[in-house]
Amino acid sequence: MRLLLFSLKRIILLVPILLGISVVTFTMTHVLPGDPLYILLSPYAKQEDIQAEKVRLGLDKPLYVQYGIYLENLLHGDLGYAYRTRRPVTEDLKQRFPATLEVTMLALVLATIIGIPLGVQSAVKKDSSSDHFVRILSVGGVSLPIFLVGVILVYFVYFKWHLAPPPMGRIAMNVPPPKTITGLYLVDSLLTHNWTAFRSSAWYIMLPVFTLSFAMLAPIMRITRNSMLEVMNTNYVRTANAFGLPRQTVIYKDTLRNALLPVITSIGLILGWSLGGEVLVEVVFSWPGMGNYAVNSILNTDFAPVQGFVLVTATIYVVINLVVDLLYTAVDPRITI
Amino acid sequence: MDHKSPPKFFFLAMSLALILSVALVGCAPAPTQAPAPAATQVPAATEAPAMTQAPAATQAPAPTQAPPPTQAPAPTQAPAPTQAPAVKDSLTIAVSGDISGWDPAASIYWLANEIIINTHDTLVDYGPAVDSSGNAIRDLTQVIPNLAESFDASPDGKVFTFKLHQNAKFHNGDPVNAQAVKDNFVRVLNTPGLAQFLLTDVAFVKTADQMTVVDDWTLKFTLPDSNPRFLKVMQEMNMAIVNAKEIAAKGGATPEEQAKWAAANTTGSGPYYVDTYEPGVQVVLKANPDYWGKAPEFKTVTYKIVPDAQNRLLLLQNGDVDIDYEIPLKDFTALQTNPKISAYATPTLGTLFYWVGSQAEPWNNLKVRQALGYAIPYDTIIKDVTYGLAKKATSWIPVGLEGHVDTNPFTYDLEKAKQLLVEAGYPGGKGLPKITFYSKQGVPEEEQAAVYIQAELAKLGIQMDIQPLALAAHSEKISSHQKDFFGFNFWIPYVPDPIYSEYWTFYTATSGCCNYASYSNPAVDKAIKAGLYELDAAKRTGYVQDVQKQVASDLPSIPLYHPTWNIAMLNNIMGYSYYPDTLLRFAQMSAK
Repeated sequence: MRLLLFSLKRIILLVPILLGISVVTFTMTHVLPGDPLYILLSPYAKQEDIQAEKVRLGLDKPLYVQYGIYLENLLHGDLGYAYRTRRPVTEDLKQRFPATLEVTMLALVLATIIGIPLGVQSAVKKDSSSDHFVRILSVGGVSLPIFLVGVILVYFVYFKWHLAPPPMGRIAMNVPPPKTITGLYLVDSLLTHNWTAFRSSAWYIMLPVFTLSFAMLAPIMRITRNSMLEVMNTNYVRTANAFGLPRQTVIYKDTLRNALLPVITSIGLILGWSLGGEVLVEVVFSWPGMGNYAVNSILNTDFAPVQGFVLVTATIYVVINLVVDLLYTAVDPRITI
Repeated sequence: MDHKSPPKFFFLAMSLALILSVALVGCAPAPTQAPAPAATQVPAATEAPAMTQAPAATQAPAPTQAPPPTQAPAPTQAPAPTQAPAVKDSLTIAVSGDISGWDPAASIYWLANEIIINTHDTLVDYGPAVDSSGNAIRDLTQVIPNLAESFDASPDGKVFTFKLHQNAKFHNGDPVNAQAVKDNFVRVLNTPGLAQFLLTDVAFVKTADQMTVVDDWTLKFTLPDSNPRFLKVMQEMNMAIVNAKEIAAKGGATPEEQAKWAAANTTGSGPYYVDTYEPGVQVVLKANPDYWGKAPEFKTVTYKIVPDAQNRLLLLQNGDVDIDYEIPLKDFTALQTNPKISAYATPTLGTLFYWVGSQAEPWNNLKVRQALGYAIPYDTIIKDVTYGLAKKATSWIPVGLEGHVDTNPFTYDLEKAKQLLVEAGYPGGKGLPKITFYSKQGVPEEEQAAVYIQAELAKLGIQMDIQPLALAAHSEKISSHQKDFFGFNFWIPYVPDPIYSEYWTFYTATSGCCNYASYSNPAVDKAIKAGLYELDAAKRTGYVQDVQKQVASDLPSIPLYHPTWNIAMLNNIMGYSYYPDTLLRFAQMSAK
């Protein structure tokens, strides 16, 4: 019950946050110089035609009235119209969201199941060769720009060695995508027992996931390591060791569990941060996700999709933080809400 | 401490195993057979084309796509893209961004234009030709029949009669008869945009009653004035014929709804139809099996969206795509030496102008503008910025348009420029105000060329500030027709006609593009006006030349260079020919 109340409170808090974000994106995109109508109506357009179109689209009204209209539409789930794709933004984002989700989630899972054991190992075997290896890996992951990793992977793994599919989207061109249930190709193809589509989409998602998880891996490993080291120096761990409890039990049951809290916080942050990295990965791998859509819209001075993308991203970010808070209680019973 | 710990690298090994297992799952072979493509947007009704030709499961439509064959992945089993099957009947093109909005009356994006020209027919076309360097181009003086099997112009150039092919059908089976063609143009008249402008202002068709349906297959246009370029306008992809009846029936009640429907559907009669459109992923065109003309050899044409330019190049070099046309110039020159690739660089009718604010003090002093002209490092810009692909402009009208005459006096000569400044009364640039140069963002050649000019002007003692503007902001800026406007204008005529070019760039204008700096000269206006209606080719050429000479002495702008249109394709793709609109006609192409 309290949990529910807490969640509800947080969700209500979302409203002013999103309102603030919508104000910022709306004013920013509308104050920027350049009227997209000049592109829409071709450079040959006469001044009076542009004026007429402005009136028709309501762009001649004062900014606060336009914002009011925007807000009203927003309440109906209408994020506006994308001139570039000639479709409603909500529809566009809905269609692209699963592509983004699939890569981000898989990358996070991969980075977590590799990162936590590696972090634990490097803490337990501090200053050993495996610790150094992890250090090199994490320095690399933090310092190499994500698009560079992507480009290098494409160049060698696809172009030179032919070990990966071409960076041309989510599935091979001659394989029809699975029937849409969730929009996640891997899940949908499993649900419909479409093994052909499953293999092809797994083959295509490999490099994007690897690229993104490489960047996520570093902070997870480092934070696990530091947190482990800290907990390993506490009295109760020393006591457990002194009693001669099995080492695996001490490490994974007593130490790791207590060391996990900061790791969870950081995973939440990483997920939020990776929404930015995801944009780059999508551009490098021609991945038809939200990030690619936003970049394309920015390049074409199409503002509604950009506003929509920012709003959706912000919502995701807030929701992730909520989930992280809820997870705390699950991991550490001492924390109550 | 504890000796029961797992082997030192236990965790490492575990992680590596994980990575490997993921990789292995990933590397699992994708199928080599070609499953039935989802026909989501098959043009409705009677002769649904996809049905008649069963998706050719036997001949793997996208052979270049096949990932490594069965078994575990190994470098030796790399796909062999060059070993295409006997008949290559599919074409794959990598493009940078989403394509959408294929309504001829409202298209604003050139890749959408390419889809339009392949899914619709225009009344007429240009005949083939070869230019002096051996490039396959079109002969702009020879208009040939297309949807109209014959056409006729009255001697006074005011009445044009088109006789239509009687077997041409829209994708839904409706006949393309005179009434349908008229309905199309009435629709254009009611749809604001470039097409409407071309029809009313360039073709002189302003009202529906100027079009008469003589009989089922004959349509007559009656113009208020003689029009020597009417047929050229009719060749434009914006004048392609849509099925206006179908749009009205299916598009919805309001004009807005119909416009949205028309942007997302094709209703033409062309050799292809849009089979699938996956936003952000691809657009698939399929050959129209009931096409009235010659059946296209490529049965499937796929546009794959690949935003990254380097990736598009890698895909082309690996044979995973057949065509790439958005290539950075530096990379294009490297492709020209690649034996697997045909890289075509065809001279265009485009010109890069440098507008020099001739209508405002102190730039209205001719000597000052001449000094600017001599300070531009033409050859360096062509060599370093366009990688030698462009040609120095010798006039304001490019070679290839009737009436071109060498009138550009400028070469790079700093001494002469300094001398001219002294004569103008501004020795060492003293007394001249700072230039604000408006640069369009996202066009690397223009951005770089501006920097070269900036450096040279600094040597004259003239300061030039480059102010980059995003595309929309730039368009807004130029349409304000600022009298002291400094900046580039890349002009490529929509209708390949010199008078049309001169009208838009040098005719006195207060709105619309492209006379950026409000240049105005009654003599020029008079010559252009006369040329607009002049049917006699020799006289028209005379007007075109008069304007060039007058502009050369007035100097509202300085022409820099004519760029090439660059396209690279695998060397087994045949039949490419350059159209002035740069669009590919897939029905003319085939594979070796």
